[in-house]
Amino acid sequence: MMLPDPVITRALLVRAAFLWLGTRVLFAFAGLLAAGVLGPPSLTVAPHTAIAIACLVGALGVLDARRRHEHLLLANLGVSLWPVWIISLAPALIAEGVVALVAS
Amino acid sequence: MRDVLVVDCVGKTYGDRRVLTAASLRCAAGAVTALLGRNGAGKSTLLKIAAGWIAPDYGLVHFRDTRFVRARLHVLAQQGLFYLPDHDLLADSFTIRQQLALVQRRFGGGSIDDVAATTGISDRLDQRPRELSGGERRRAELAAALLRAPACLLADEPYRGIAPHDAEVLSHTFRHLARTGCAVVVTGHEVPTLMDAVDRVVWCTAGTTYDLGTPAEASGEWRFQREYLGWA
Repeated sequence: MMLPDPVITRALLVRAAFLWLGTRVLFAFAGLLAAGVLGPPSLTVAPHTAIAIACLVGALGVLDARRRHEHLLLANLGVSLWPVWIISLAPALIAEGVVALVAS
Repeated sequence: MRDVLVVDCVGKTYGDRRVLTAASLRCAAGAVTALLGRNGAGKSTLLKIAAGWIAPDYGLVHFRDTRFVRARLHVLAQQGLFYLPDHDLLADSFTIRQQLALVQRRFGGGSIDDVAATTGISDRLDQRPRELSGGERRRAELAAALLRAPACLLADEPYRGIAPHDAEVLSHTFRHLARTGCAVVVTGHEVPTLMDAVDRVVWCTAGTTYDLGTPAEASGEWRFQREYLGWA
Protein backbone atom coordinates (compact mmCIF):
# COMPACT_ATOMS: atom_id res chain seq x y z
CA MET A 1 0.00 0.00 0.00
CA MET A 2 1.47 3.32 -1.10
CA LEU A 3 1.31 6.12 1.48
CA PRO A 4 0.62 9.75 0.57
CA ASP A 5 3.39 12.34 0.49
CA PRO A 6 4.33 13.77 3.94
CA VAL A 7 2.80 17.13 2.93
CA ILE A 8 -0.58 15.51 2.35
CA THR A 9 -0.19 13.21 5.36
CA ARG A 10 0.42 16.22 7.63
CA ALA A 11 -2.67 17.99 6.29
CA LEU A 12 -4.77 14.83 6.73
CA LEU A 13 -3.55 14.37 10.32
CA VAL A 14 -4.36 17.97 11.28
CA ARG A 15 -7.81 17.77 9.70
CA ALA A 16 -8.48 14.41 11.38
CA ALA A 17 -7.57 15.91 14.76
CA PHE A 18 -10.17 18.65 14.22
CA LEU A 19 -12.70 16.12 12.96
CA TRP A 20 -12.18 14.03 16.11
CA LEU A 21 -12.63 17.12 18.27
CA GLY A 22 -15.82 18.03 16.42
CA THR A 23 -17.17 14.50 16.68
CA ARG A 24 -16.41 14.40 20.41
CA VAL A 25 -18.10 17.78 20.95
CA LEU A 26 -21.18 16.44 19.14
CA PHE A 27 -21.09 13.33 21.32
CA ALA A 28 -20.82 15.48 24.44
CA PHE A 29 -23.71 17.64 23.21
CA ALA A 30 -25.82 14.56 22.54
CA GLY A 31 -24.87 13.33 26.02
CA LEU A 32 -25.99 16.63 27.53
CA LEU A 33 -29.32 16.37 25.73
CA ALA A 34 -29.78 12.81 26.94
CA ALA A 35 -28.53 13.61 30.44
CA GLY A 36 -32.03 13.88 31.81
CA VAL A 37 -32.70 10.29 30.80
CA LEU A 38 -29.30 8.63 31.10
CA GLY A 39 -27.67 10.62 33.87
CA PRO A 40 -24.77 13.15 33.71
CA PRO A 41 -22.63 13.10 30.52
CA SER A 42 -19.22 11.50 30.82
CA LEU A 43 -15.96 12.03 28.88
CA THR A 44 -15.21 8.33 28.85
CA VAL A 45 -16.93 5.92 26.50
CA ALA A 46 -16.90 2.16 26.19
CA PRO A 47 -13.90 0.77 24.24
CA HIS A 48 -16.08 -0.34 21.32
CA THR A 49 -17.66 3.14 21.17
CA ALA A 50 -14.18 4.73 21.13
CA ILE A 51 -13.21 2.47 18.20
CA ALA A 52 -16.47 3.33 16.43
CA ILE A 53 -15.75 7.06 16.89
CA ALA A 54 -12.24 6.58 15.45
CA CYS A 55 -13.63 4.66 12.45
CA LEU A 56 -16.23 7.38 11.93
CA VAL A 57 -13.51 10.06 11.98
CA GLY A 58 -11.54 7.97 9.43
CA ALA A 59 -14.59 7.86 7.15
CA LEU A 60 -15.16 11.60 7.60
CA GLY A 61 -11.51 12.18 6.67
CA VAL A 62 -12.03 10.26 3.41
CA LEU A 63 -15.22 12.20 2.65
CA ASP A 64 -13.40 15.47 3.39
CA ALA A 65 -10.57 14.51 1.02
CA ARG A 66 -13.15 13.74 -1.68
CA ARG A 67 -14.92 17.05 -1.03
CA ARG A 68 -11.60 18.85 -1.54
CA HIS A 69 -11.01 16.92 -4.82
CA GLU A 70 -7.85 15.41 -3.37
CA HIS A 71 -8.86 11.82 -4.16
CA LEU A 72 -8.20 12.21 -7.89
CA LEU A 73 -4.82 13.83 -7.32
CA LEU A 74 -3.94 11.06 -4.86
CA ALA A 75 -5.06 8.37 -7.32
CA ASN A 76 -2.87 9.92 -10.02
CA LEU A 77 -0.03 9.76 -7.50
CA GLY A 78 -0.71 6.04 -7.08
CA VAL A 79 -2.41 6.32 -3.68
CA SER A 80 -5.77 4.68 -2.95
CA LEU A 81 -8.26 5.93 -0.35
CA TRP A 82 -7.38 3.24 2.23
CA PRO A 83 -4.24 5.05 3.46
CA VAL A 84 -6.33 8.23 3.73
CA TRP A 85 -8.81 6.37 5.96
CA ILE A 86 -6.01 4.91 8.09
CA ILE A 87 -4.21 8.26 8.44
CA SER A 88 -7.48 10.00 9.35
CA LEU A 89 -8.27 7.30 11.88
CA ALA A 90 -4.88 7.44 13.62
CA PRO A 91 -5.24 10.75 15.55
CA ALA A 92 -8.71 9.73 16.73
CA LEU A 93 -7.43 6.37 18.01
CA ILE A 94 -4.54 8.05 19.83
CA ALA A 95 -6.82 10.74 21.29
CA GLU A 96 -9.36 8.16 22.46
CA GLY A 97 -6.52 6.26 24.11
CA VAL A 98 -5.33 9.42 25.88
CA VAL A 99 -8.87 10.25 27.04
CA ALA A 100 -9.31 6.73 28.41
CA LEU A 101 -5.93 6.94 30.17
CA VAL A 102 -6.63 10.37 31.71
CA ALA A 103 -10.14 9.39 32.76
CA SER A 104 -8.93 6.23 34.46
CA MET B 1 3.35 1.49 -32.98
CA ARG B 2 2.97 -0.51 -29.76
CA ASP B 3 -0.33 -0.27 -27.89
CA VAL B 4 0.21 0.95 -24.34
CA LEU B 5 -3.43 0.85 -23.29
CA VAL B 6 -6.15 -1.32 -24.78
CA VAL B 7 -9.76 -1.17 -23.66
CA ASP B 8 -11.43 -4.28 -24.98
CA CYS B 9 -15.13 -4.56 -25.64
CA VAL B 10 -16.41 -2.82 -22.52
CA GLY B 11 -20.02 -2.13 -21.62
CA LYS B 12 -21.59 0.18 -19.08
CA THR B 13 -25.15 0.83 -17.99
CA TYR B 14 -26.32 3.63 -15.69
CA GLY B 15 -29.69 2.60 -14.28
CA ASP B 16 -31.87 1.85 -17.31
CA ARG B 17 -29.61 3.71 -19.71
CA ARG B 18 -27.07 1.65 -21.60
CA VAL B 19 -24.20 4.02 -22.41
CA LEU B 20 -21.68 1.57 -23.86
CA THR B 21 -22.43 -1.83 -25.34
CA ALA B 22 -19.14 -2.94 -26.94
CA ALA B 23 -16.65 -0.10 -26.99
CA SER B 24 -12.94 -0.51 -27.53
CA LEU B 25 -10.00 1.86 -27.52
CA ARG B 26 -6.39 1.32 -28.48
CA CYS B 27 -3.81 3.88 -27.37
CA ALA B 28 -0.55 3.61 -29.28
CA ALA B 29 2.77 4.84 -27.91
CA GLY B 30 3.88 8.08 -29.53
CA ALA B 31 0.47 8.92 -30.96
CA VAL B 32 -2.23 11.42 -30.04
CA THR B 33 -5.71 9.94 -30.44
CA ALA B 34 -8.93 11.92 -30.46
CA LEU B 35 -12.02 10.25 -29.04
CA LEU B 36 -14.94 12.05 -30.62
CA GLY B 37 -18.67 11.67 -30.31
CA ARG B 38 -21.88 13.48 -29.51
CA ASN B 39 -22.81 14.53 -25.98
CA GLY B 40 -23.93 11.46 -24.07
CA ALA B 41 -22.31 9.06 -26.54
CA GLY B 42 -20.14 7.64 -23.76
CA LYS B 43 -16.73 9.24 -24.44
CA SER B 44 -16.13 10.28 -20.84
CA THR B 45 -17.45 6.96 -19.56
CA LEU B 46 -15.07 5.09 -21.86
CA LEU B 47 -12.17 7.27 -20.74
CA LYS B 48 -13.04 6.75 -17.07
CA ILE B 49 -13.16 2.99 -17.61
CA ALA B 50 -9.81 3.16 -19.42
CA ALA B 51 -8.36 5.11 -16.50
CA GLY B 52 -9.77 2.72 -13.89
CA TRP B 53 -11.87 5.48 -12.39
CA ILE B 54 -15.12 3.57 -12.87
CA ALA B 55 -15.71 -0.15 -13.35
CA PRO B 56 -17.24 -1.47 -16.58
CA ASP B 57 -20.10 -3.96 -16.43
CA TYR B 58 -17.99 -6.23 -18.65
CA GLY B 59 -14.89 -6.07 -20.80
CA LEU B 60 -11.20 -5.81 -20.08
CA VAL B 61 -8.49 -3.20 -19.79
CA HIS B 62 -4.92 -4.05 -20.78
CA PHE B 63 -2.22 -1.66 -19.64
CA ARG B 64 1.41 -2.25 -20.51
CA ASP B 65 0.82 -5.96 -21.12
CA THR B 66 -1.07 -6.50 -17.87
CA ARG B 67 -4.72 -7.48 -18.11
CA PHE B 68 -7.18 -5.98 -15.63
CA VAL B 69 -10.75 -7.21 -15.12
CA ARG B 70 -11.17 -4.33 -12.65
CA ALA B 71 -8.56 -1.68 -13.33
CA ARG B 72 -8.05 0.94 -10.64
CA LEU B 73 -6.59 4.36 -11.28
CA HIS B 74 -4.10 4.29 -8.40
CA VAL B 75 -2.71 0.97 -9.67
CA LEU B 76 -2.52 2.13 -13.30
CA ALA B 77 -1.00 5.43 -12.15
CA GLN B 78 1.82 3.57 -10.42
CA GLN B 79 2.52 1.87 -13.75
CA GLY B 80 2.58 5.08 -15.79
CA LEU B 81 -0.95 6.28 -16.52
CA PHE B 82 -2.07 9.85 -15.91
CA TYR B 83 -5.76 10.76 -16.01
CA LEU B 84 -6.84 14.34 -16.58
CA PRO B 85 -10.57 14.56 -15.74
CA ASP B 86 -12.84 17.19 -17.26
CA HIS B 87 -12.51 19.28 -14.08
CA ASP B 88 -10.71 19.64 -10.76
CA LEU B 89 -7.63 17.46 -10.95
CA LEU B 90 -5.74 19.81 -8.65
CA ALA B 91 -6.99 20.38 -5.11
CA ASP B 92 -7.64 23.83 -3.68
CA SER B 93 -5.96 22.85 -0.39
CA PHE B 94 -2.46 23.32 -1.80
CA THR B 95 -0.69 25.74 -4.13
CA ILE B 96 0.18 24.74 -7.69
CA ARG B 97 3.87 24.54 -6.73
CA GLN B 98 3.12 22.23 -3.80
CA GLN B 99 1.06 19.92 -6.01
CA LEU B 100 3.66 19.84 -8.75
CA ALA B 101 6.24 19.06 -6.04
CA LEU B 102 4.09 16.10 -4.97
CA VAL B 103 4.25 14.70 -8.50
CA GLN B 104 7.97 15.40 -8.74
CA ARG B 105 8.78 13.72 -5.41
CA ARG B 106 6.65 10.67 -6.24
CA PHE B 107 7.81 10.04 -9.79
CA GLY B 108 11.06 11.94 -10.23
CA GLY B 109 10.41 13.89 -13.41
CA GLY B 110 11.91 17.17 -14.55
CA SER B 111 12.07 20.61 -13.05
CA ILE B 112 8.95 22.40 -11.83
CA ASP B 113 10.19 25.70 -13.24
CA ASP B 114 10.78 24.13 -16.67
CA VAL B 115 7.29 22.62 -16.98
CA ALA B 116 5.76 25.82 -15.60
CA ALA B 117 7.58 27.80 -18.30
CA THR B 118 6.49 25.31 -21.00
CA THR B 119 2.85 25.59 -19.97
CA GLY B 120 3.00 29.33 -19.22
CA ILE B 121 2.10 29.21 -15.52
CA SER B 122 5.40 30.42 -14.02
CA ASP B 123 3.73 33.43 -12.40
CA ARG B 124 0.89 31.30 -11.00
CA LEU B 125 2.92 28.68 -9.15
CA ASP B 126 2.29 30.07 -5.68
CA GLN B 127 -1.44 30.43 -6.17
CA ARG B 128 -4.16 27.92 -5.45
CA PRO B 129 -6.21 26.42 -8.32
CA ARG B 130 -9.34 28.39 -7.34
CA GLU B 131 -7.45 31.64 -7.97
CA LEU B 132 -6.68 30.66 -11.59
CA SER B 133 -8.79 31.02 -14.72
CA GLY B 134 -10.12 27.90 -16.46
CA GLY B 135 -7.35 27.97 -19.07
CA GLU B 136 -4.63 28.50 -16.46
CA ARG B 137 -5.98 25.61 -14.37
CA ARG B 138 -5.93 23.39 -17.47
CA ARG B 139 -2.33 24.38 -18.16
CA ALA B 140 -1.38 23.76 -14.51
CA GLU B 141 -2.90 20.28 -14.74
CA LEU B 142 -0.96 19.68 -17.90
CA ALA B 143 2.20 20.81 -16.12
CA ALA B 144 1.54 18.02 -13.60
CA ALA B 145 1.17 15.56 -16.49
CA LEU B 146 4.44 16.80 -18.03
CA LEU B 147 6.27 16.34 -14.71
CA ARG B 148 4.84 12.83 -14.43
CA ALA B 149 6.11 12.00 -17.95
CA PRO B 150 3.48 9.27 -18.23
CA ALA B 151 3.40 6.28 -20.56
CA CYS B 152 -0.24 7.12 -21.25
CA LEU B 153 -2.19 10.34 -20.76
CA LEU B 154 -5.99 10.36 -20.87
CA ALA B 155 -7.41 13.89 -21.06
CA ASP B 156 -11.16 14.40 -20.88
CA GLU B 157 -12.32 17.52 -22.73
CA PRO B 158 -9.12 19.49 -22.12
CA TYR B 159 -10.06 22.21 -24.65
CA ARG B 160 -13.46 23.02 -23.17
CA GLY B 161 -13.98 26.69 -22.40
CA ILE B 162 -10.42 27.86 -22.92
CA ALA B 163 -8.95 30.61 -25.07
CA PRO B 164 -7.33 29.84 -28.46
CA HIS B 165 -3.87 30.61 -27.07
CA ASP B 166 -4.38 28.15 -24.21
CA ALA B 167 -5.65 25.57 -26.70
CA GLU B 168 -2.45 26.05 -28.69
CA VAL B 169 -0.33 25.44 -25.58
CA LEU B 170 -2.35 22.29 -24.84
CA SER B 171 -1.94 20.94 -28.37
CA HIS B 172 1.78 21.69 -28.29
CA THR B 173 2.11 19.85 -24.97
CA PHE B 174 0.19 16.81 -26.22
CA ARG B 175 2.46 16.64 -29.26
CA HIS B 176 5.52 17.04 -27.03
CA LEU B 177 4.37 14.17 -24.80
CA ALA B 178 3.69 11.97 -27.83
CA ARG B 179 7.19 12.66 -29.15
CA THR B 180 8.57 11.26 -25.88
CA GLY B 181 6.67 8.00 -26.54
CA CYS B 182 3.56 8.73 -24.49
CA ALA B 183 0.19 7.46 -25.72
CA VAL B 184 -2.18 10.44 -25.54
CA VAL B 185 -5.97 10.28 -25.78
CA VAL B 186 -8.08 13.44 -25.76
CA THR B 187 -11.83 13.91 -26.00
CA GLY B 188 -13.74 17.02 -26.97
CA HIS B 189 -15.93 18.75 -29.51
CA GLU B 190 -13.40 21.31 -30.78
CA VAL B 191 -13.11 19.50 -34.12
CA PRO B 192 -10.72 21.83 -36.02
CA THR B 193 -8.34 22.08 -33.04
CA LEU B 194 -8.45 18.35 -32.40
CA MET B 195 -8.05 17.39 -36.07
CA ASP B 196 -4.91 19.54 -36.21
CA ALA B 197 -3.46 18.08 -33.02
CA VAL B 198 -4.05 14.34 -33.35
CA ASP B 199 -2.72 11.37 -35.32
CA ARG B 200 -5.79 9.14 -35.10
CA VAL B 201 -9.52 9.56 -34.66
CA VAL B 202 -11.82 7.19 -32.82
CA TRP B 203 -15.56 7.81 -33.08
CA CYS B 204 -17.78 6.85 -30.19
CA THR B 205 -21.40 6.36 -31.21
CA ALA B 206 -24.38 4.12 -30.42
CA GLY B 207 -22.53 2.46 -27.54
CA THR B 208 -19.57 1.36 -29.62
CA THR B 209 -16.42 2.81 -31.19
CA TYR B 210 -14.97 3.01 -34.68
CA ASP B 211 -11.28 3.57 -35.38
CA LEU B 212 -11.46 5.99 -38.32
CA GLY B 213 -7.71 6.27 -38.92
CA THR B 214 -5.95 9.58 -39.52
CA PRO B 215 -7.89 12.88 -39.32
CA ALA B 216 -7.86 13.04 -43.15
CA GLU B 217 -9.30 9.52 -43.39
CA ALA B 218 -11.87 10.32 -40.70
CA SER B 219 -12.97 13.46 -42.54
CA GLY B 220 -13.65 11.33 -45.60
CA GLU B 221 -15.84 8.88 -43.71
CA TRP B 222 -19.40 9.77 -44.86
CA ARG B 223 -21.26 8.40 -41.81
CA PHE B 224 -18.94 10.26 -39.43
CA GLN B 225 -19.45 13.40 -41.55
CA ARG B 226 -23.20 13.06 -41.61
CA GLU B 227 -23.85 12.03 -38.01
CA TYR B 228 -21.14 13.91 -36.12
CA LEU B 229 -19.43 16.62 -38.14
CA GLY B 230 -22.63 17.69 -39.88
CA TRP B 231 -20.66 18.82 -42.91
CA ALA B 232 -22.45 16.65 -45.45
